[in-house]
Amino acid sequence: MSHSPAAAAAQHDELDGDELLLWAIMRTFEVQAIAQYREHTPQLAVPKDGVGALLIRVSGDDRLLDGSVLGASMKALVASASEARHEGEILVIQGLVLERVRQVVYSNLAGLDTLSERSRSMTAVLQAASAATVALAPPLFASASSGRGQQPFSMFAEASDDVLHKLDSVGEGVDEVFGSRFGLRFADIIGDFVADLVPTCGKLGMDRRKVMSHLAGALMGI
Amino acid sequence: MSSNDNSAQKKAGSVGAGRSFEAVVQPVPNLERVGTRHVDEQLSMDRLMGLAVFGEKVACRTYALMADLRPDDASLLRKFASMEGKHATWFAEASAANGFHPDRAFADKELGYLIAQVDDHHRAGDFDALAVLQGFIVECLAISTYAPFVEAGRRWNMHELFARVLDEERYHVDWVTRYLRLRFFDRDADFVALVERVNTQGVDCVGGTLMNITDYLACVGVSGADCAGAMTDEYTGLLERVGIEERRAMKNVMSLFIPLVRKYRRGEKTK
Repeated sequence: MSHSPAAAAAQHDELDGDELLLWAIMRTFEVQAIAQYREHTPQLAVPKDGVGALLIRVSGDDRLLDGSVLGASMKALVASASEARHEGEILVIQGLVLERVRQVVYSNLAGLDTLSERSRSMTAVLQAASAATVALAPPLFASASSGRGQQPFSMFAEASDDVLHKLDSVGEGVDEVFGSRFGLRFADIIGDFVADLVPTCGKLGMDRRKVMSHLAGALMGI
Repeated sequence: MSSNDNSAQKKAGSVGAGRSFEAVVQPVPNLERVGTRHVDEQLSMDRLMGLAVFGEKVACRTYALMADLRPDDASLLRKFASMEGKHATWFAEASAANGFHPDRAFADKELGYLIAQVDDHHRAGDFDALAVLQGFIVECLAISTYAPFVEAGRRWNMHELFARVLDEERYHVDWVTRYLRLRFFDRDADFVALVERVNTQGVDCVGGTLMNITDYLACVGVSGADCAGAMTDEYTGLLERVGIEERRAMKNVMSLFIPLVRKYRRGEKTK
């Protein structure tokens, strides 16, 4: 592997409360994703080697998250993702959707000079791991869809509906907590996410308009 | 409250299990939407046709203002204005034939923000901004909402009307697309700057209207999600045809749509 989580963690400057909350959130999602990858799609776990340990070292418990306005909506999103039961669902919920959201978040953070040196260093590691995972997911999804005899759009839409619905629910909290501190705006994150996801879905043989309608419906909650 | 609102409340009392229409569309906790099956169909069509009739009148005025700014194409743009005016008349006639009463108060509320933008661009002599706002954004809303009525309109014998109007709106979009392609040939950065400038208010306004009619569309069997998907896809596609790369076009459009979607989920009006 080209990155070194241990080296990233060796930076010892202080993290402030917002950074600790940010890493607590990312740790929750990364640890869940890694466990699901290991069980159902081990190829996607490979680039994540060391990621869980790195985040646990920084933020090992949920106290900050539980005490924040983001606690309930983030936990609901994690719970929705935990409903993924087989390879196809993991590839959609994590590989195509949440991993891509994480990649967008890391990309946005990477450009910030308001982050501590330690957070910046971690962001670089996490972004590289996430980008590698995102790149691996589409061909695996194509082969899973073909193996299950299910049309790619149908498989994508069925598996992603609830998680997209829950994803939108975290928006207000993200803007409130991270908007001023990090300049992270949920609308921009979703804009980036959709702009990355839709062409990928197109390459997987899905009709762009159908994908856009599905995303709109899931985000609108209808 | 308008007289239409009053009549709607009376009608809703008979179909909404004792709840008024306004109660049915009020926001509810936990970001969940109220089921729309009890929303009054008459009110929905009154408001949808109100937006169609008065929206077409606004389009007529906008193309006429565009003609003022571009003498070379004034004749064609006045023809577009006349076509939009006829659409308004046809929709008004079709409404009357079916007992619908186009809701002007509702339409005025939706269209006021649009008219203000049109006037600002006209006052600034900014034909290109009007081309993007009317020729792309507003036409995309029209296309994405009229298209499903080519089928759904059969129950009121309005399907052929919607098909014809849809064809003519597409003709307008084709002309605007050609105009912008030539105007911004080899000037992609200038076109991006124009679009991002117009989108900020334009998508907020027109996308907001789509969110505000979603429950009425649902009531008459048309999916607001499909319309939103069609509108964002159609608009992104047009921006690509003029020269903006897909990812950038989509990101810009979606970033402006997301706050509207959030308002919809909270049951808030966007205007």
